Amino acid sequence: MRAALIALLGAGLVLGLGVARGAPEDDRKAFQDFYTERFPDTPFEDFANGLYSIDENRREEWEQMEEFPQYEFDIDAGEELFHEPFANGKGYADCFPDYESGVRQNYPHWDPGRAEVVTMELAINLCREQHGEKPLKYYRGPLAQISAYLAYLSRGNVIDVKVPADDPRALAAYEEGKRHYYSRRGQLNFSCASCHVDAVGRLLRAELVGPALGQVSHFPVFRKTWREITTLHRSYAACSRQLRAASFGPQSREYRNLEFFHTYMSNGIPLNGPGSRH
Amino acid sequence: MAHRAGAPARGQHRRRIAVSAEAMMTPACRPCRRRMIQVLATAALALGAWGFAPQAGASDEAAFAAAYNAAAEARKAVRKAGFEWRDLRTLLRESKKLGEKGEYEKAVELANQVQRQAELGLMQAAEQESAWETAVLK
Repeated sequence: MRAALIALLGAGLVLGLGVARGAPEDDRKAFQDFYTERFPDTPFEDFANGLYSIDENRREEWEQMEEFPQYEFDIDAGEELFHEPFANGKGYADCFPDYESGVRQNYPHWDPGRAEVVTMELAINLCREQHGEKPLKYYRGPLAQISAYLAYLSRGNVIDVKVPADDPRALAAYEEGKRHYYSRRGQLNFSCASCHVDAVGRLLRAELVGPALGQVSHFPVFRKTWREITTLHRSYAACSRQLRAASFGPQSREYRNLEFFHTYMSNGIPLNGPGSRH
Repeated sequence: MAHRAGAPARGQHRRRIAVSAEAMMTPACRPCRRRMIQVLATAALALGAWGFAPQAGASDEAAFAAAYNAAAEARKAVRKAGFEWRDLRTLLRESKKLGEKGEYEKAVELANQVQRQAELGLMQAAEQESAWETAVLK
């Protein structure tokens, strides 16, 4: 009897883990299939170019912008900041030993010790705090520049975000991000998906809406509207406000979990950050 | 027209009003008395109008405080639910400023707007509790 109970419990556990393990992968497959079917002429890797992978005219304009990209100054500044030693003599390289071959493809990731999602930008600030330095502001400036430098070194690496199947807290964070992505918010009653899934490739006023697949691959971006390099969470906040919803703070749990889901959906897309955008 | 004896010459009574109140009370200064009656009547009317006009009193202030507190509570609830709308913070701040200036009517109007939007946000949160799943790509 006891053996039968243990066997039943074990089977239940395996089944439960199986379902949990299957869910994010099922989501990713359905997500990517939607875009590849919706835009059959766009090669999968080209979704890394966002909107410019689906519209020829805007692509030409963007290619002109990329001939003299304004983010180059930020990559240089980021490189300088990255190699500037902390007061204790250590540096960012001690926190990111593999930075030269690229580290960004593994962010965001689930940190079991902290029991939360850690993004590239949060990891940079955690590194600073670990070495007795003050954290940097998240939207722009030095942190975005260091992030741009690390993105540049990671170019060509394929996004490979993992949701650990053996930690239900990781799956809960992923689910929270997914829920955020599909939940309608704000006075306009729109979700992220209302624009980037339902209206993708269509005009919303004068804006052509880009696909969500590959959307995270080119961050941080130099946005011409803002005339500076900015991080993904600033774009999340701007989107929230466009829906007339209150935004969450940069690196808030909500946005980190959203980034976790959002990036997982782009697994397999090569990184090409930093990018230029309008 | 003949000028009555003892009466002030044309235009003189105006100066008298300014110069001496006692002079106005003399029987010789009838135009001045008429003027005095006009001034007093106007003042009485003005006072009456002021008395009947809606005045910002303690009850208005209490009504504003109640509306403001209810709005602030509603905002807190919708914020906690993660479905706060964009302008609630600004509208609530604006309502507080108007209340501090004594412009209670406008302040209450804004506070009510905040409360309504917060309630709608809470309704949205309740609806999205399950509705989001229908949008998931499968």
